[in-house]
Amino acid sequence: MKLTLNWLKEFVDLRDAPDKLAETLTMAGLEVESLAPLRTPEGQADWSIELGVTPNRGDCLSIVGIAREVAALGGGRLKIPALKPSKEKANPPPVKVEIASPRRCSRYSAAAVEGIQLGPSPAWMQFRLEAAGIRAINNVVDVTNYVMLETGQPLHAFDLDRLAAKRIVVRPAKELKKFVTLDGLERELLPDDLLICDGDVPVALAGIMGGRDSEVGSATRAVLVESARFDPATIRRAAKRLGLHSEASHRFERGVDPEGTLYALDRAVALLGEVAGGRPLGGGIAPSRPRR
Amino acid sequence: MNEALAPLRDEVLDRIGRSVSEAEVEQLRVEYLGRKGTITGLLRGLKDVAPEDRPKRGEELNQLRGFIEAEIDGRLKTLKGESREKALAEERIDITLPGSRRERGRVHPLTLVMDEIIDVFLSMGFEIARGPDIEDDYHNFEALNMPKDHPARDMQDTFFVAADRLLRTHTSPVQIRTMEGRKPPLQVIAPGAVYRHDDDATHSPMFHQVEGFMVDRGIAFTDLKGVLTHVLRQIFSADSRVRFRPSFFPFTEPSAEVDIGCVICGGGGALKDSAPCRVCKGTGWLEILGSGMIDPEVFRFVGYDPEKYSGFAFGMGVERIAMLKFGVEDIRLFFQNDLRFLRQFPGF
Repeated sequence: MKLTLNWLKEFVDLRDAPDKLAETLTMAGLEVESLAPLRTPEGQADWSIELGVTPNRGDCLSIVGIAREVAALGGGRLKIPALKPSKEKANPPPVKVEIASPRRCSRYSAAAVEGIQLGPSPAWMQFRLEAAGIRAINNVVDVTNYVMLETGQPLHAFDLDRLAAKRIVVRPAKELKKFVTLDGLERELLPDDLLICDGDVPVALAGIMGGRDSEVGSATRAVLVESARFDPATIRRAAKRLGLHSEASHRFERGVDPEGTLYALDRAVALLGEVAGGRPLGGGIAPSRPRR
Repeated sequence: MNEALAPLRDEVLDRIGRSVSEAEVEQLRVEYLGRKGTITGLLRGLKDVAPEDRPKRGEELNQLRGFIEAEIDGRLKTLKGESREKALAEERIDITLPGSRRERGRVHPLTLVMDEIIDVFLSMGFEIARGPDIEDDYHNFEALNMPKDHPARDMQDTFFVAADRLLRTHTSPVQIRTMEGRKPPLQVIAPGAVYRHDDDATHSPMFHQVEGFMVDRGIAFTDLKGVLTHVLRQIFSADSRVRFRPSFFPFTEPSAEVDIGCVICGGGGALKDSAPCRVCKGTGWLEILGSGMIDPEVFRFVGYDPEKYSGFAFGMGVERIAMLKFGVEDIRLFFQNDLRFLRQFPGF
């Protein structure tokens, strides 16, 4: 896990200098693999830290998680900003969510955002993504990645206008044999693979990769952001078989916070407003009480 | 002699004179005196010579044949003498020279280090156990608390040889095999080769580990610390600094990586010219082994009661220790069998 110190500082008031902090983290089991000075695009001093996160610490694959750890180690006071859930609620809601396989998906939250102006994300966001080893693509995709790094909750954005049924169904692939992912490759499916469908049409391989037909592109004006918790073993089996290991599958395999999907969603909606002109339309959540 | 035969005689003489081997001379004999030879041909032609000239001609030809035969025999004798002398000169033996010695073998540096580690443990009353290099999934992963879809399997890139057969990725399966067959108290080490899909200056697809564990009633983390600190000070130096750093292995809880003060920079993290030490990357510490208290789940797999017994386990990489002890920077040198490298280590 790579991050910058200034980003971490948004979530914890650091008490110590970078090298002392590195020592504290290393001796707590989050081994610091490298520590190097950086300069932000605005010309401020920053530091790049790379942590070796062992497979039992899925909770430390995020800035918030590491901030929590630093605070618990006495390295400073935790300050996770409260987010105002958006007041706007469309009636009826822009999408309905159904989980047909609750064992494999304990919670699925989604929020629609309209008024999107697709373009590059701001320099500060690109800088932090690249410092974390993620390539900047466009403001919508960058926001989903930024929030994933910040909260540990992987997100996916669909082009809302390309979801015809406006009814999200989470279900196993069953008799469906093939699916074209957004890299344009046709993937062979097994009956147990978990799919996100729009009505009857598959739109994503859950937790692994979205589909080509609902991909966010230059014509996108509204998006549906997904924030869900999938079963670690289901994601791991599919990601391994298809050779599609990603930052998202890495986190799902290690387990994401069942109560964390909404926080990440609110954060993404706020950031989409900030960097892509988005206006919240409300969303759908299922189930309202997550299973663990 | 007849003047008409003179050129033939000169030609033969010239060729004999220039010949350098016995085989070449024999060839000339065939060419001139053989059944289809030049002289033989001329003798056969006598019947076409006028009867009055025949005796003279015959005599001349016979003379020439005798002459050539004598020349050939003479040349053969000379050549034989020359080759014998040459052979004698070449095969001359100087019996005063000293004899050539048979090269003496020596212990491979990894064996040297492995033996040293084993000796330390034997002196503390540990016994040695071995297990197969080709393992099944159950002993290599499952019984070590690494179920099929566990992300910890990513820590060890595995060579599979069949559906349920793999090259062991660590020596830890020997723990399981030993505990399956016996009851505590146990203090055992398991040295041997292990295999991972890795290949660079610090990783070899085949390398060696010494695994060890101690199980009985009342074994605590302090026992782990005491034993491993002693072992590392025996292997490195009596005043080595040792630190225990929290980590994670699926088969131990809690787990600790054990570091020693850097043997290159002395633990300061910097070299004399204040450049950061490359070996410890400026940290002053070197990771040397993994350890921890055996996870109760592992005891359940082998049928021990975790409420009754506790224990610790550890594993160390032999190549890593050898590299640090001898200052070797590339692990591959150990496996290339270059004598210039191997000769630098002490013999018996």
